[in-house]
Amino acid sequence: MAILEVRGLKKVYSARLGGDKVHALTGVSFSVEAGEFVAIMGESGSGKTTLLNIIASFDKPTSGDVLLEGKSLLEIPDDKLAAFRREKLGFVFQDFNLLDTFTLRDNIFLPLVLAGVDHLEMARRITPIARSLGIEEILGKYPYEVSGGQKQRAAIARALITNPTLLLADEPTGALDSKAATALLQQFDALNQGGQTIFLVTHSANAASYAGRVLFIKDGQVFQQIYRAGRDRQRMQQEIADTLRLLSGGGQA
Amino acid sequence: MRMRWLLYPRLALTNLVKNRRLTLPYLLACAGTVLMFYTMDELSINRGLSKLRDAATVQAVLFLGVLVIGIFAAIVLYYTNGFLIKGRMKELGLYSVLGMEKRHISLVLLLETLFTGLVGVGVGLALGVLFGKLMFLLLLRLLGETAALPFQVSLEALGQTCLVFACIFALILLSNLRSVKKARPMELVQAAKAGEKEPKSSAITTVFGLLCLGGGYAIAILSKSPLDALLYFFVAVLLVIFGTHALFRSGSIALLKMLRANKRFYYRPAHFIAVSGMLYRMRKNAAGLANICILCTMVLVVVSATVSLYVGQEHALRLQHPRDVSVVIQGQAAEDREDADFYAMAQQLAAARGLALSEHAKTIAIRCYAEQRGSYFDFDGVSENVCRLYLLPLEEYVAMGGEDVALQEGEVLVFSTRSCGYGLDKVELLGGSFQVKEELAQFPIAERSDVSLETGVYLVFANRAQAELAMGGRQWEAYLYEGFNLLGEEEEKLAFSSEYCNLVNRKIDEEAEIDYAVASSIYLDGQRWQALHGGFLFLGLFLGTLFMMATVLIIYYKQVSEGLEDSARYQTMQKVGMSKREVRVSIDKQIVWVFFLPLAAAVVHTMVAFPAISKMEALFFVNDMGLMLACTLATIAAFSLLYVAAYLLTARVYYRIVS
Repeated sequence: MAILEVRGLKKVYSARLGGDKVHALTGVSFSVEAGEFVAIMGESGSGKTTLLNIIASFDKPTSGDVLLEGKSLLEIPDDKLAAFRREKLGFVFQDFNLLDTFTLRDNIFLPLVLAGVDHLEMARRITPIARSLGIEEILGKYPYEVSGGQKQRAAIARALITNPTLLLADEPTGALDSKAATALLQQFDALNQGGQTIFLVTHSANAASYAGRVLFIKDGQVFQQIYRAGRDRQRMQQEIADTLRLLSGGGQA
Repeated sequence: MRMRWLLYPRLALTNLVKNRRLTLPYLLACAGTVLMFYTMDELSINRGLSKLRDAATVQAVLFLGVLVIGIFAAIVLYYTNGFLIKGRMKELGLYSVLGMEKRHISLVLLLETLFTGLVGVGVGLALGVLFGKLMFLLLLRLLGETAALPFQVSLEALGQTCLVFACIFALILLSNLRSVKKARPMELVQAAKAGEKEPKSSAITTVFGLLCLGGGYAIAILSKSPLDALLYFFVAVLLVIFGTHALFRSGSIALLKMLRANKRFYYRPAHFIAVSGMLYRMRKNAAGLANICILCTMVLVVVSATVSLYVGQEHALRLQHPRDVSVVIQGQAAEDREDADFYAMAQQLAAARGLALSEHAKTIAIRCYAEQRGSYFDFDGVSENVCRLYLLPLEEYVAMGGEDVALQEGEVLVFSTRSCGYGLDKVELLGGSFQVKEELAQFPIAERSDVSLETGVYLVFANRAQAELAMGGRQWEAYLYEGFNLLGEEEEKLAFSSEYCNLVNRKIDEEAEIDYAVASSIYLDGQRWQALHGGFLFLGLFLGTLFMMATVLIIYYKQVSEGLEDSARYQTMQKVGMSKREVRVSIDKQIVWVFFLPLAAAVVHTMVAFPAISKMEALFFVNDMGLMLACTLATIAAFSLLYVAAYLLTARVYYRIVS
């Protein structure tokens, strides 16, 4: 069953004073099955952030539709949108977006608190997640007291604690050193093995090589997609790099 | 070359306009303080005003105001500028990174200060000249002066204002230049990113705060006499300021941590974000909130005290003057003057002015001081519980309109000026013990009040021999009191009072053997008091406005700087699933707590200070507790309304920044 379905998505930005129109997305369609790990790649300005924002319901498309578990995001009224986002989607951002007023524990609790979950239930849920991410010991610390990798793992815990249908990650390794990045991607891999559907936006070939399928976006359209299909990561990474070269070469032509 | 010269002024001007959210309130504050300083200064040296009868008193009070406003203006502007420059460090750092030298940045800052100063002082003075006449008329009205006095713009005051504010702006510029000099470019650019430590609440600070506040409160509540209240009030004020700062700093953090530890309370959407947000910024905020609280308290205390003084003066006057006009002579001369016909003189003068005299009262009493210990009055002990004793025969009491009671030898009628009365059944003096036949609830020539430092005790004996007997052979002073009321036109009463008192006082002066004698009139005193209390009220309202302005300014800058800080935070919360409505609710909760805490604390401070203030007002003979309480509560209500308005206005700014 397709968890996420994107149909003919278009997004046009117009400058405030009626100037030139910018076509960020010119017709994107694809679907993500349950349990899939999909990566989206593309250069800066290719439209991948716009795509993510629309899937995350932060932004609305000019035309086209996004369906999550068969339900259109456009049909959800604005005042229900926050609750919907909280229940169905988990977010991991490049710059972590942890709140420095909260300890890591409270940062992870935030979506549950907003959902009005009892604090005993919250405590019950955080234990296995924190253990699997290896952040049990530092839950009482504040974001500025821990390393970038630890922050990102806390952010993943926050994304997972609501048992989201879809985990959205926007350049999650962008602010990490290579060691922390590798650990994080292995974490994603393990989560995906456990059945979590993941949608990853990145421009790192290494990060994308962990995915089961990679979509390439160029000039607001899906340019190509490649499946891992049992290949090892090195081969996958090689193929991604080749495709990227093709992509930028095409740009020059 | 020409272009280069224009670059910096243009840059400075652009900066001011671009940052108008920050610079405009600052400019308004400049103009406001200039306006106030100029107005007060102008009035304190105004020539027209100096023609008033009690001009010296009024202008001395106003000069006090000039000093306070000057000092306070410097503090407010310096403080506000601190907010401004902190917010602009990043921008200045960027200039530096882009290759501007420090002397160029300094030049830009100099020009900015110059522009701000010129506009601020210019607008302030223009408004001052415009509203000067209005203020002048308001003051005259409060002083109870009806005569039309000339008003003209004072160049002297204009000059003084310019000079004072030039100094203040120079000081501010120096401090800005120093902070630019100290800063390194990259630090400036990244200054905002530095990690914040969780505030610690220290038990010592909390205890210190509690002790200070408790001490200040104790002084305010426990001080018994007006003089104590006056002497220790300053100490109490300092203690309360220290206590407020310490408690806002650590007490509030301890409280918030306690709230956070209560999981059931803490993990609710609105509490969760509000408590953590407040805890996070409390350390930085505590000082600002404590300052707001102290400013609010100052507004409340100053305005309520001066309003009660002004409103209470009429009642106080009557306490001081049981009769409209009175002549009092003490010492040996009083007895010799028994036949002196002050009353006949008054009748003559009054007839000429079409006034009638009524309720004439005259007595020659024995007056002495004694220390009261129970029912015993000790003429030798004069250290504590000192009473003024007046001993007079029944016939004089009756002559003054008192009830004719059959009084035996060995019996007395007692009247005490204490509001609780005398309360004992006998009076023991050196000359013997007397049974209290009746305790009088009122007395023709005295009023009940606890204003005076000493109690007045009036003893009515069966005859003069009894009164003299009671003294037990002691030396005593005669005390002559003669008083009467006036009926007729108000203006004539005043004119009569002036003429009569002058006449009597001159006559008394001529007789060298008189130790102490004075003729006084409720109308003359009323005028003098009106001048003093009107001056105080004017000053109180003025300072109240100034403190209020400072309060609003601090609140505004807090909202703006916090809004900028919080906007990123609320964006994140929306990303993880917080709706706009939830954001609004949690913001409301947080701001309401933070802003109404100082107001609540200020109201508590004011109510605790009330006993001490009411005692101090007793020094000005104002002693109507009910009235003072009403004035204080009215002031609190009015101020709270203004505070809420200020809060709503600035909260809107905050919302706009955050969303």
